[in-house]
Amino acid sequence: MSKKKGQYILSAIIILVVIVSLGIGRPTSTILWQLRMPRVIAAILIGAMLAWSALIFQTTLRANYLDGSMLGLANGSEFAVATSLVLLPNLAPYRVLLGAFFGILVVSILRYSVLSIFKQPLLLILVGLSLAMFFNAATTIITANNGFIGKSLSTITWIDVVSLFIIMLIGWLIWCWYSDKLTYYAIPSLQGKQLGFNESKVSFWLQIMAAMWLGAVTAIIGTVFFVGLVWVQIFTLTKALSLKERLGLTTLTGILLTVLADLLAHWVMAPDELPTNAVLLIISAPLLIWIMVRWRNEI
Amino acid sequence: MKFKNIKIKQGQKVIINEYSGTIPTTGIISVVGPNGIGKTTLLKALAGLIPYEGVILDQATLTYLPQKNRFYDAIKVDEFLGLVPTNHPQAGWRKQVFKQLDIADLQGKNVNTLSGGQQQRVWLAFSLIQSKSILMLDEPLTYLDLKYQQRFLSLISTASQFCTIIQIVHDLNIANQYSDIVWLLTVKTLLAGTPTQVLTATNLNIVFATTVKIHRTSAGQRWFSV
Repeated sequence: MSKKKGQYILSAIIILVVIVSLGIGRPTSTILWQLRMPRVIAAILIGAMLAWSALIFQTTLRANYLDGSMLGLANGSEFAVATSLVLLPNLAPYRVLLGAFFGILVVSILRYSVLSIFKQPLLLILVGLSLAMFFNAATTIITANNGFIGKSLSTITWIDVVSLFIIMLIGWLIWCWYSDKLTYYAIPSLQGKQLGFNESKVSFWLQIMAAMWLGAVTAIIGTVFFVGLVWVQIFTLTKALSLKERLGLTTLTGILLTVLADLLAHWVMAPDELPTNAVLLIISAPLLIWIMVRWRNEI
Repeated sequence: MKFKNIKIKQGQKVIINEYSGTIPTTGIISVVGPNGIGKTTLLKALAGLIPYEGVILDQATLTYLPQKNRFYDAIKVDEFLGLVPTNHPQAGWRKQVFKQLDIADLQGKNVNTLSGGQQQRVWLAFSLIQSKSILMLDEPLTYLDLKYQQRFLSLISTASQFCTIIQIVHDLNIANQYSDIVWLLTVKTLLAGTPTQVLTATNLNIVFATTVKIHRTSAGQRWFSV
């Protein structure tokens, strides 16, 4: 299947799922505009930002099998947001901006510690996972008995959506500034350096962008392990698509699965809401198995 | 460019033992020596890629191409070669390199779909078209068939008129025929000189710990066998 055809099919399915999400149960105008619309828009933005951030981390670290959740970044910023909201509940409306800020803070700390010490992908993943475990446990402890809900798009507000837009726009500006340099990541760092490519600077800004997006997303739906990795790998395994060619397909896949996850989270156990991140994990897990099977066949 | 008393240690083990030498502004230098003697390590040190003791004077602009190279993502050949600025002072050089290495046949193809030999041609073209004073190539003939070995050697002969090529080679006949200077690496020192001065039976027998025979063709050229 060609890249364009794949993009058209994914776009058509997204439109269909969005229509179903907005229209199911014939909502009143208030429900549509105050509840469903911000929720669907947030799902679209979250899916795109999650996918994009994973692609950026994989590219700039030249490590195909990781994403922000596996670096401890998502858990780190989630922990920081949770702690802030436990201490200062009045900040709740600004959780997305807080998440973005903490995402930047955590990635900055990681760049000068873990990322500069552990260069090999496997070590990076193992150290990242140990950080993720720590922050995950710390978040659970700190939010216990505090009525901290999070992790579901059912709590989304228009302020969250606008904040997501702002964060996405800031990231987009960074992307526009540096995206033409991404080709250098296809070759070894040494060769890029010999051509005068300032990899450290470009990686810094792109990782700031990716971390900012991941932090913002995590503030709403919590940490979603491995999904960024899975979405990117679906198209990376073909070996034929360049990074920019994969970007569209990966983003559309992220959007589709997030919108679908939110639809299922809302309707499967209605009137109870399921955590969006858990549903997202459940529908992404079979894709990981499919990737592993294809990977084994290729080997 | 000059280097004095370059010494490299790995823990307590001395890998390179106080080598000194001079790199002229043009010409081909072939680095010869047994496995594990430190040929690659020396080149990496001169390229400033690994720490060393000693002094490097008049550091020149250089490109180092390792023996094994990989691509981390799908990229088209023309996109890859397009990363090199088109400001080479030698007019028509880029075109000449592409023609000799038949790069036109590979344009538009994804590098991941190329064979080992085709990828090596692309990597060599990538290095040759860079406008640098010194070009360091670690076993550049690896993966190349005879036709492209010949074409590559012809290209570096041309390039050696406007820059310095330092290549690690194992084929003594190529080192003898296509070098202005040979660096023969021994455990204790770096022997530098013309191929006739350095590639002698005595030196080679000691360095490689095997009997190297030197023959002469009817045209008077030397060739080596074991």
